[in-house]
Amino acid sequence: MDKQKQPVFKLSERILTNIDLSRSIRELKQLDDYFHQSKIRGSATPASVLKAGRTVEDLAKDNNLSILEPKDRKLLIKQLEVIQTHAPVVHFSFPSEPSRKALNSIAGWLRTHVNHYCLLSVGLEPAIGIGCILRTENKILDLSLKNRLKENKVLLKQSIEKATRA
Amino acid sequence: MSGWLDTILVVGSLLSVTFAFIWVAVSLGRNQPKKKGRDNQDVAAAADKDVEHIFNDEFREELRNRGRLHFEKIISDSAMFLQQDLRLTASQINEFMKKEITTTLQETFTKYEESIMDAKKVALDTIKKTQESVEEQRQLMNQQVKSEIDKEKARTIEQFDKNLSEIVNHYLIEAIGNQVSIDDQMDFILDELEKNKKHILEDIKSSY
Repeated sequence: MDKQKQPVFKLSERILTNIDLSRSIRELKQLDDYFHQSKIRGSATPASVLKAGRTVEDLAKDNNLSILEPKDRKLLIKQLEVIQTHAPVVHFSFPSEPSRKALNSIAGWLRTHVNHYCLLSVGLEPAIGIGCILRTENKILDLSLKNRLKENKVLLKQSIEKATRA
Repeated sequence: MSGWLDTILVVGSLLSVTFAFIWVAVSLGRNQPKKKGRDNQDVAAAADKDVEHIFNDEFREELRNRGRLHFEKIISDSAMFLQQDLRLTASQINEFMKKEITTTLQETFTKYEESIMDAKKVALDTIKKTQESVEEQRQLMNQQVKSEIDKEKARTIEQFDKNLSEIVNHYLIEAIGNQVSIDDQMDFILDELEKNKKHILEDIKSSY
């Protein structure tokens, strides 16, 4: 992927998984409904604004949109729904629960090198030990240490033999 | 045996002398002629009287005593000879018995010894054969065990070689599995992602 090419719509770093995306869409819709109902009631500006989540706020800010503008909200919702429908979802299986920071790193790498709108799906598989297993639409890539050792079996064998002799 | 014969001869001679005296006396009495009458009868009576006078009771007793003494002497001698013979015979019998028993025992012992030697030889042969058989079995078993051990060793090495990565990974999981968080593994994961970037890109492009 061309690193210089910037995406038209910037997906927030807070939206890492398809669950995050669904949650953001839901929040945006709730916000839109709230503003819509307030408008119907006749008040130009709602007296008590429903507090938007930080994700939605960042999303709007990153894309130079305002959540107070109905048009921008609709655009945000539409963009997110398009992303939800078409964005590639990469499933990762980890040996233990990954931290948000770790997921952020992985999603960042994917969005930088593979696709700007990559979403993650996370599962647990303790048998992996160290590393992870990546599943795309058509492929399963074993990124575990076990697989690395298997690939470098000759080196491993030589190391063991060397250690045994020593 | 000669002692018995002597005894019999002595007793026979005594009896024959006694019988001869009696016969002479009877003959003299029977040969007196009846025609001479009373004189003859007197002579005969005188002779009888003389006979009676000669062979009176004392003489007879004397003769009887002599005979008895002689008989006792003969009997004593015979008994002595018999005793000597008996001792000799017993001694000879003892010697003979000793000799026979010794011979028999020697023969028996010889046979027994031969039997023992044969039995010993048979036993030794059997033991030798058994030892050979055991040794063969032992060697065969050693070969089989060695072969099995070699096979098992080869199989274990093959299995170890085949599952080397799994074994090492399992060991690592057991050793440090719970102490390494995903954050600590990020360098490794990103490195792996970088290595497989081409595959991921191709698949994503083909799918979306």
